[in-house]
Amino acid sequence: MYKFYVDGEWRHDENQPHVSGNYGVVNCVYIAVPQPDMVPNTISPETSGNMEVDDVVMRPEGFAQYSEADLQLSRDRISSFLSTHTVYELLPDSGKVTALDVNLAVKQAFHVLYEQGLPMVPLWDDFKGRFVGVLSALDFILILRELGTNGSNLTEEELETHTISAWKVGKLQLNLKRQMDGNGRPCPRPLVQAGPYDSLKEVALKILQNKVATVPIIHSTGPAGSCQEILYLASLSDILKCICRHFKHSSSSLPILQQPVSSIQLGTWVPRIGEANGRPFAMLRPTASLGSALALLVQADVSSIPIVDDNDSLLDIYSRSDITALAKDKAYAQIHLDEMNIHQALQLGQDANPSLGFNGQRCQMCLRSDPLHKVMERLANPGVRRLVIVEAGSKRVEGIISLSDVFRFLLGV
Amino acid sequence: MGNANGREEGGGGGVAGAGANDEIQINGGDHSMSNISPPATPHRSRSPLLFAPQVRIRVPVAPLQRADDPPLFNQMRQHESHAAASNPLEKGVPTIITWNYGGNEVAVEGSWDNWTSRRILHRSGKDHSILLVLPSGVYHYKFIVDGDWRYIPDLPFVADELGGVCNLLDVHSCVPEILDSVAEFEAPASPESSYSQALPSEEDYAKEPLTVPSQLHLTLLGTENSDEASSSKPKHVVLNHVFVDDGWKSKSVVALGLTHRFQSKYVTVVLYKPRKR
Repeated sequence: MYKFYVDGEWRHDENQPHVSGNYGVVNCVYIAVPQPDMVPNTISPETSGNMEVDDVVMRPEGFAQYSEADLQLSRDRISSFLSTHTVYELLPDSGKVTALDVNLAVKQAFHVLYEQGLPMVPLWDDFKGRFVGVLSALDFILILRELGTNGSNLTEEELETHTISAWKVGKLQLNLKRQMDGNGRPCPRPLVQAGPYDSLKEVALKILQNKVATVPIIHSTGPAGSCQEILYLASLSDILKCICRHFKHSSSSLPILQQPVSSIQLGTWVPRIGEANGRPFAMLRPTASLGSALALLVQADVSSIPIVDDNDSLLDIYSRSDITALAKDKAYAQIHLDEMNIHQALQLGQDANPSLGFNGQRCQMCLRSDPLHKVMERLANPGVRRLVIVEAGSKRVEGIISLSDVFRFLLGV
Repeated sequence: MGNANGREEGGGGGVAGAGANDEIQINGGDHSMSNISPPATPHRSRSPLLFAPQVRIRVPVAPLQRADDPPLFNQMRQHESHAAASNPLEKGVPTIITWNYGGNEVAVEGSWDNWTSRRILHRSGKDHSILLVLPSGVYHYKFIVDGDWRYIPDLPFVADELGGVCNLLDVHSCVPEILDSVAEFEAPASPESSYSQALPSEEDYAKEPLTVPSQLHLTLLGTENSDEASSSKPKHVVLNHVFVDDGWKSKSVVALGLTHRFQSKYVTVVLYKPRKR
């Protein structure tokens, strides 16, 4: 509040906002205090400190406010739950794990992944007598892109003899944000793994920090842990399922779960017109080439891209794991990545029931008004790693919520 | 007589039994059935080298009666009654709740229906009990004994949001193995024969392969990757036996499969290896 003292007289400015109060009429300036939780996620954390006053206008629909205490209480409870429960609880009573020998040819590996329907497999090295890494869909995307480029060392015939271990060595040369050793040479990343008695919290943090999707659970026995038994492949969705199961019937102990996802700004949202532009939101039309989709998956470092029509309405979703569909009928040998478009690539994956138009089974959706617990229950289903936030009715894409978004929020990292 | 114990079939030449009673005969020479390469060193390799789905048998055999595991009871669980599931989408698990501390009228309320209904326990002397069918999950519940809110301190309990204390009920859809109660048994003595650690020679390979114990058909390998397969527990007799599948299409890949137990969980691992030329 302020007032002007002009030539000995208290005056106020009629043209500025003013109120009547104990001191007569005074001018006032409205300053909205930026609350950190309300900052939209589309703006990266580094720039949030520079927020202008004007930018902190709340979204017009006026979502329900939640208290900081609620958030902290929920986080504490979840953190305590995750710290006291171990990976052993995630293990199914009778589970199955598939592994590949690291000397298997890349082409055979591709077919195993496709036929078993696996997004990733751990790699066993006989000579070293332990698990040394994993083979995932991203490896195949990179291999296929290598095949396509002229002047690459990899030809299709060589896929039959090129072993996984040779590929992994060659991958280091691709300069993909790998770790450097002391001499500045790229060194292979050690296998991110966990033991069966590690706490769920440790495993969740490991997954988030290393930016992987799945962590092999390995039980090491014998001298210096030399004997390894693989027990399970754990992912955030298993941990989420455990959380949901435990708190399903006492939901009042986690108040933050009742909040709609739009109010807690969870996930990555399509920037609206006029908003400060954060990360651009990756979407593609079905006519875009497969090559451009794969390039986008690699460069934007995302695991899936919504496929939309001209109105930005959701049609389907292309994920990294969809690449294994190219093993069907050895499609990868016959196509050029730039000549096949996404729609055709997705058709390959739908062998049994080719459905035209929108495929609701493949892309799980939610609304911006859905409460957090509903989003969590959907994500706890095996195989669902992300939900697309759509507008009711038109199915216009508004954003994406992934498992790692939910865990970063719940763990406060 | 097949070996019914779970001893690891590791060492070379260690297959016991003349198998005179067996109806199964494995014919033909191009199987590599149960041929585990003998370890070169005494160190038993517990590597997860696992086999492939199929065991090659020419003559189909009727599956044996399953060995009955002793029924496992604890205070809270019973698997004999056929109550209809309350929620048709989730399989309900019959669960018993008991109160053994006296009282005239004991009732229970719980979070399974959000504390809306109160169920009275059936009395039998000093014990009160009730059977509920609940989907798998974790629930809070409390007793009302002659009008007072009570809980059982000997069972898991937790402080609830309202400041009271509730007991905690964790309903599993599968009974976990209680390892202590798995019966020990005396393994029969190995039959009279000559046992050694000599590697098989060429003439040994020319002979008919030894008969496979029929229990080994009960492997989980070869079942489709479905939910039903994952909920059925493997029989103890097939644990730690390595299965080979060499019928893989390109013949340049061999798949090995093995099921082993870790605490009270079972893990089936399949490893795909290149076939050495």
